[in-house]
Amino acid sequence: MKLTNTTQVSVDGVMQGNGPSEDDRRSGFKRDGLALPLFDDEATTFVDQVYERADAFLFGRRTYEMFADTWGAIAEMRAHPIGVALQEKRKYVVSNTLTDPRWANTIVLSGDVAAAIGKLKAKPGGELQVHGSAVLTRWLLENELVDEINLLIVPVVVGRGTRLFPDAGPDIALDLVESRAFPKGITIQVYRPAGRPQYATD
Amino acid sequence: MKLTTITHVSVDGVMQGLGGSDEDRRGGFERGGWALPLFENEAAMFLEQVFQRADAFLFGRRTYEIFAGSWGAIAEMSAQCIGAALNEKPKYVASTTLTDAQWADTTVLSGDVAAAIGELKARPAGELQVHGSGALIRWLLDNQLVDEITLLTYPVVIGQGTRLFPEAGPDIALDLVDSRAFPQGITSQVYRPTGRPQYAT
Repeated sequence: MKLTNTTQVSVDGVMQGNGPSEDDRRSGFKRDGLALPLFDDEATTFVDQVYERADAFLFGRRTYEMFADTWGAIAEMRAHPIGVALQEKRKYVVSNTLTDPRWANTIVLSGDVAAAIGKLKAKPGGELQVHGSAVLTRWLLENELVDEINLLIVPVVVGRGTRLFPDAGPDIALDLVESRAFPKGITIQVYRPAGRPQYATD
Repeated sequence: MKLTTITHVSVDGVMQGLGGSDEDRRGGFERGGWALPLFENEAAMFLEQVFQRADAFLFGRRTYEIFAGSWGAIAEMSAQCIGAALNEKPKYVASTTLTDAQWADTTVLSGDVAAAIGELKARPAGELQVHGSGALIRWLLDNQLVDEITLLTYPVVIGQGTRLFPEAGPDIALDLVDSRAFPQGITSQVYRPTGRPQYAT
């Protein structure tokens, strides 16, 4: 399976609090819920279709628990196309602390996570999707395990909060494979990592 | 004049050192020169047209000096259309230290810079363009003086260096007015600030 990452970020690269989040508010982040008012039908359909084409999902512990409590637990969210995709398909969660996942069809990956993910990636065909999961995504990028990055860029500058890409991280060349804009100004850019960048010499 | 900013950034939002390895090594930055290998004819034409439609330019001190020492000083650069636009049109530089601007047709703005920029913006029609000038753009955004933001996003993650948008800054709602992609994967997005964002509860 190819490993793809789908992340909603602001124009300033913040991924924290795209939806309303009590957790974020408790930690002092007050600018949550920025993405929802900007999701029009086309952007919503695009995201629904991403989830529907998944063959399995891979999460960090925090996003897994948030999704399990919402998409996995609230009746009207379970019935939504995203909820349906998440219930039906296998979920992997990377965690050394989680032992008893409440959501059906979940496998906890601990110990040698790179090897476990390598095995999943070695399966022929299909798509293993990562949504949210900032810490995991950064680790996957550092370990060159990401095959495709879908960046949904929401037309807002947040000015606070956790960014997808860290201040100090690997340098990565990307191929742009798709770019489009939705009516309310969200854009989608699909990139494939392509090794290290080329730098001009003076 | 409307005030527009044009910034080259990486996918991780870095604007430092796009042109060459020694252009800007502040903070131990070692990954300079990331933009040129991705810059092809269509993106170049787009950028040339941006410079050509400018009525005046506004710079921070540091970018002004880099541009004066290159577009203003090297014959083959002055002759290019970006160089020609920069040489022909009035240039304003916001600086409290620069007193003797070397480049012809330059006005130094010091003291009440917000008022001076307000006067320029109050002129009917035309476009006052800011290129580079990270510190100035952050100050302009803080002071709600920006009418349009063009981001040229290069398909690369740099992993270090100064970003256009600060860790702690104002929150700004944006209208997307143009979006396009160039053959080697640079994308251009044009946004207009429209006040504070709406947050879902």
